[in-house]
Amino acid sequence: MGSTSTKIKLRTSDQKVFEVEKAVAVQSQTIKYFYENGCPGSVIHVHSVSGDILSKILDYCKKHVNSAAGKEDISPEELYEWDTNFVKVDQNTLFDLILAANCLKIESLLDLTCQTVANMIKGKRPEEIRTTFNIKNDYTPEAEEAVRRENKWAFDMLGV
Amino acid sequence: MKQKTWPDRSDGVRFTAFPLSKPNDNEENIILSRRSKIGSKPSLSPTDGPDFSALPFDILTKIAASFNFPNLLAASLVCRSWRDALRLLREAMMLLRYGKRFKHGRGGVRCNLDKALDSFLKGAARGSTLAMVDAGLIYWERGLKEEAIALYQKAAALGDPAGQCNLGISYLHAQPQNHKEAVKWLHQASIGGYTRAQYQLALCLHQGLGVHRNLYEAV
Repeated sequence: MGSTSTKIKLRTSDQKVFEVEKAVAVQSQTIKYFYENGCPGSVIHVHSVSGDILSKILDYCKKHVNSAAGKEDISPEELYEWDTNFVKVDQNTLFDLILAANCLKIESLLDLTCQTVANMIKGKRPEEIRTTFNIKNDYTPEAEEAVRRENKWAFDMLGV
Repeated sequence: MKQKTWPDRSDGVRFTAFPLSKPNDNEENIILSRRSKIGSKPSLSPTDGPDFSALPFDILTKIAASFNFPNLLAASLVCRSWRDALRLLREAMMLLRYGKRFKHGRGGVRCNLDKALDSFLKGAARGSTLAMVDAGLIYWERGLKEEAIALYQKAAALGDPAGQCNLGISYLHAQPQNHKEAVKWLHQASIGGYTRAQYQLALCLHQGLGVHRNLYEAV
């Protein structure tokens, strides 16, 4: 790939500076926008993302860019495996990755992290989900009943 | 893949704005700043750990897009914020129900595929992948393959195994065939435990379609 030598500088919330290959950095639609509309050679401040998180995100982008460009011989199955391991992280990190992927507009990473959370929810009862994510129950019994009533028809339909 | 998920609700309230500060030092700087910082521990709530109940609505919609009704109800009952975030998806479940009645002529209504499709599309617009897949099926049966594939792609990207499987099969029938993409999506659906995809994938691998594969995985 001809243009890979171009570098983009990114500065994080904790003032760490990353010099990143353009092809990798522009996986983020947000960075791409600011790169294309900013001055050449300028530093893009990613004020909302810490160095630790950005470093992880750049690993992800690099892996996907390299595999798409054929620089790395990796099958879709192996890449899927790699992705699965990538999101085996503690909840703080997962939460930060979701918000960062959303903020930086990296659609495939947002899909991946959201599906990870989805899998942690599926098949669980509300109280189990609350425990998993450390969420306080702020429902009154009436409000809870209202949601159940609102959806009562669906029980009949789906046979549950 | 590069496509945007749909419907695009990135106009959600929180976490989406990018106030662009003016460069204020000598360097030509571009500043992406937001109200809260991601990954900086002090900005988190005083209780330990992240506050998942405060996830932006558009992200929660994405998370729950492929949920069936029991999972959606359970998630809606976690806290009031999630209830509000998932309201559109619960509506989608109702539309899905109407659509299925019209599709199969159940519940005292006559079979009407136009009304079924209309209902499924409304459910799809509210973010439910189940409705996307059902709408896609009707399009496919009508020979509107591009429309069907577009819906399968949205559902597949949101992690719906049926969407991934149908997308994979669509690529096998597309002109020209795209074996690599087909195997990729069938593989994902197979991992999601979708039996039809596992069978289809085994057929592909057995026939040597879709890249450098060996027979072992097909067995």
